[in-house]
Amino acid sequence: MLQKLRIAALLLILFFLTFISFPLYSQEISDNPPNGGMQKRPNEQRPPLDDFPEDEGFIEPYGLGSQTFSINMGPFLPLFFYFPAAGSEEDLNIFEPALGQLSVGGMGSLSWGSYLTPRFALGAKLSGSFAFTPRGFVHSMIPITMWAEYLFRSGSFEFPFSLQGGIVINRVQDQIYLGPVAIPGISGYYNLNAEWGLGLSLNYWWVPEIYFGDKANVSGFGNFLEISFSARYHFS
Amino acid sequence: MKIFGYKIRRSVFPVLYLLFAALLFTGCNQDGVGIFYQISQEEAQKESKIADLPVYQAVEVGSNLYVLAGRSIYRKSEDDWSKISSDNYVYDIVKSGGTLYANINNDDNNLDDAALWRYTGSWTKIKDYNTNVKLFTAEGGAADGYFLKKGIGGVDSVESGSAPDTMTVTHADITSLPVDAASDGTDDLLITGDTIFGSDYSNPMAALADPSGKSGDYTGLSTDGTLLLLTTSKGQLFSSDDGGSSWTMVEDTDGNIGSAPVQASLAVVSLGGTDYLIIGTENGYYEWEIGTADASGPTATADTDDSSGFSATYPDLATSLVYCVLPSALNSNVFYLGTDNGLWRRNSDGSFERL
Repeated sequence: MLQKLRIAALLLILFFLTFISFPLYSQEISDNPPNGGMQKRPNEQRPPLDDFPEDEGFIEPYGLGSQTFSINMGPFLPLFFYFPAAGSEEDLNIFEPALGQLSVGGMGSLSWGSYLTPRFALGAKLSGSFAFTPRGFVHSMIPITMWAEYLFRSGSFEFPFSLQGGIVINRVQDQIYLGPVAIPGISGYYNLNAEWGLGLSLNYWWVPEIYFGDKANVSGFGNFLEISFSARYHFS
Repeated sequence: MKIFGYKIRRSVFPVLYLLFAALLFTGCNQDGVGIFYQISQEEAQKESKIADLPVYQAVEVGSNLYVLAGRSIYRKSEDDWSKISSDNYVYDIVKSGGTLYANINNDDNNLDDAALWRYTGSWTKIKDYNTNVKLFTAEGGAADGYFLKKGIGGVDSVESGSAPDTMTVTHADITSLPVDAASDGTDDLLITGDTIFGSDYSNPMAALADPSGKSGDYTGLSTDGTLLLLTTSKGQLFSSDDGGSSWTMVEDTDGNIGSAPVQASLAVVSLGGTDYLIIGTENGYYEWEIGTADASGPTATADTDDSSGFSATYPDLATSLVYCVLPSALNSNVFYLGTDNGLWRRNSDGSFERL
């Protein structure tokens, strides 16, 4: 019985080898010119110039429903503190330098947005920054913001102008202040392809810390500059 | 519009913006001094060998400053500190004239085995006690104001004398641990946690009556040469102008001394011709301009207008546990605070500096 099966399998293999070899051979033959001559190639015709759309270079790549996801990382520069009521506080000036009192820090952010028009987008952003005080305490800020952006384009380059607004968790040592934050900024991207753009962002962090009553004289406004490298992903 | 495949109404965005706008008026940090204010006022801290060590005691011997930091003795040398003791635990340091004395453990394996040593550039053992002892001194300049209690926590004797190396047993009747001592020049007082003893160190000391309203344990005794000043663990401050026969309450338990005074952590300092009692507590220090109505947080002694400014300028010191207060014999406007955050010096201009 086993021997019969082996014979049947051998016949089956021979059958396949025989019939499959025909099409392969036929394919080789079919590569030769039919009837022994070259087929005439049709003349190529240039399309008429009038058919090009005049504004092809300004086709808007984004529209309602286009979305972006961005990730930013980079150094964080403390600039200065503004204390408008400093006059009543000894040893406190209206403008106090922040860079001498805080180290150059770092920041990172994750952002999502969606275009409402080809040039205007809205979104949300979660950021975080850190820097060190003279005694080694960590000063951290975590802004949670909504943002609006207007986009300028030039070739493969994009320059979004943005304004963020929201809340910030401002912390040093054992003090925590939950307050507002406003962050205007500008970015420059080079689009590697339709999906990815790489660039640089400059954002100015304006962080009010407002008190009333006995502590009103230490109300202040922190001013910081974010210089971050940015990668932006476009999708629909 | 669609976001991740879900249809989102555009009206969501204005709602979200209104939500964030409402949050703009949120604030907190009620107890803090202000984050940007603190950062703008913070001063860099000096690194030193004792910066991260608790400083339990400090003494000036001539122009040298010694501290008991951690469990070792350090001498200030330029901007740094030199360790001058061995690796054995040091329990206490005092000075007598121009000499430093220390109570040092003999044996790592037996902490109840101490000896008295003298330092004159090198160490000389004066006496083995073979038990745990506490060495301290009486403020006020009494000739026989040096004390060494044998057998901490047990019943033993108290020695005193005109110098640590000539002490003899004078008080066998004080069985609990002495905490502090002071002499106003006429009356010599010594306190334990629950009793005031007077009035002569060289004779058996009688127990004096407690001040009216006293609460908690006695923690410190000091003098300005006229008044005897007494603190309790409940934040009370008493003064006496009759050698401890009667006491006047300056601060009660609910008074301005908002934190528990630390044992033997108080001293009278002279700043600009005015005497202040500095009281070290578990949370910073308090001061009392002697003769005035109330004690307060650091105001007159610091170069800031109020205690909140002090907290911002010296946040480490403001929250420190203050183990000792040492007036400088070299400059009446200078004093030292030994804390769990290192040693701090109050400079002549009112500023503080961590050494």
